[in-house]
Amino acid sequence: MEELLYLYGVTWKEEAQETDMTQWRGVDDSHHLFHIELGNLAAVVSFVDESEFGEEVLEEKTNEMEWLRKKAFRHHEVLLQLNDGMTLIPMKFATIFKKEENLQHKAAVYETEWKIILQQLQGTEEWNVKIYNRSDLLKEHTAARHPEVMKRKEDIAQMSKGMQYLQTKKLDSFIQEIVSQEQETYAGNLHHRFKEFCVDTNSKKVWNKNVTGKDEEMCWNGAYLLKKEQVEPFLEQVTTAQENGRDAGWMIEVTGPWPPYHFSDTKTVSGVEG
Amino acid sequence: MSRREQFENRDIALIDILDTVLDKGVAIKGDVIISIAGIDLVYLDLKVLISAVETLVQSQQNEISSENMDKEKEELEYAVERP
Repeated sequence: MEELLYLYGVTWKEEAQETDMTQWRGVDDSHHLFHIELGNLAAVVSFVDESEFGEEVLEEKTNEMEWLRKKAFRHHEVLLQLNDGMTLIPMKFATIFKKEENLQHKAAVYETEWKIILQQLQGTEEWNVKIYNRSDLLKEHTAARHPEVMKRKEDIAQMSKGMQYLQTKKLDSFIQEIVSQEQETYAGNLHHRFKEFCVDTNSKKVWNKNVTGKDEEMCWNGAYLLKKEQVEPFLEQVTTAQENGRDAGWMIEVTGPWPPYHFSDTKTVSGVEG
Repeated sequence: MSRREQFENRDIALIDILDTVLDKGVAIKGDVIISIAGIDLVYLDLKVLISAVETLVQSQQNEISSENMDKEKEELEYAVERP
């Protein structure tokens, strides 16, 4: 049976040498991990059977959600394990080479970029933050606490019955307007606050309710690259934001540390800012 | 308890992992498999995946405690699925 090389990630040669990964199993739960030296770098790989990971088979396998779920999880699990002990450029699911020669060729093309990325990733962690909102709570909160709303309410109380009716309706749409603006700016403000702790940030796709399966609307989905020593103050800031936002219907989810999936893209390196 | 201990490796949704480890993310419409000639990089067909994920999210909501899910949960020490 033909065997293919499944690439998990790229690290420094020394870090790969220092890590005993030979006991860890790969994405197929069978073959063990090992590394292939690529000059100063090293590729962390395992063999996989072509009968399961060959290109045509893989196309078929993507139809099997159970298979895909299991393997994608396993991929992530392996990467978490690796990421725990080394500076790692994580690869996406199913990055596969037919033979080592092809991997070496790929490495020659990306060597310079990979080195730059690994230097940037040195001593960092990736964390992800998602901000959700329950607009009904935010509306309630706005109605009860917004100074302009409160002032208008007081004014309305002094008016005649007919005027009160009209002005209350007007006030309602005013509140709705504030809520919309608030949703737009709140997530942005939080992002900027979180950003101050970070080496780099990346925005992720905001999912709709069909995807999240939540009642709350997702307003922001972002990835944050932090120096290790900044993680604690960053999470402290997130916690403060969670507490401050709760009454007004804000829900902030933080997950990590992730393998730096969102800060390892070779295509972005040449145009990187700062 | 540090904030790190409080948040580390908790509450990672299935969808989040799939969205991250699959090449183009769940919400983007991919075309066919991209195979770079001679390099053998294989990426998944996301068109197929999107519908699969949608089905999965629905079944997640409906059958949280199905046998499969329990089995998956045991297997995955890092990833915690959420309804």
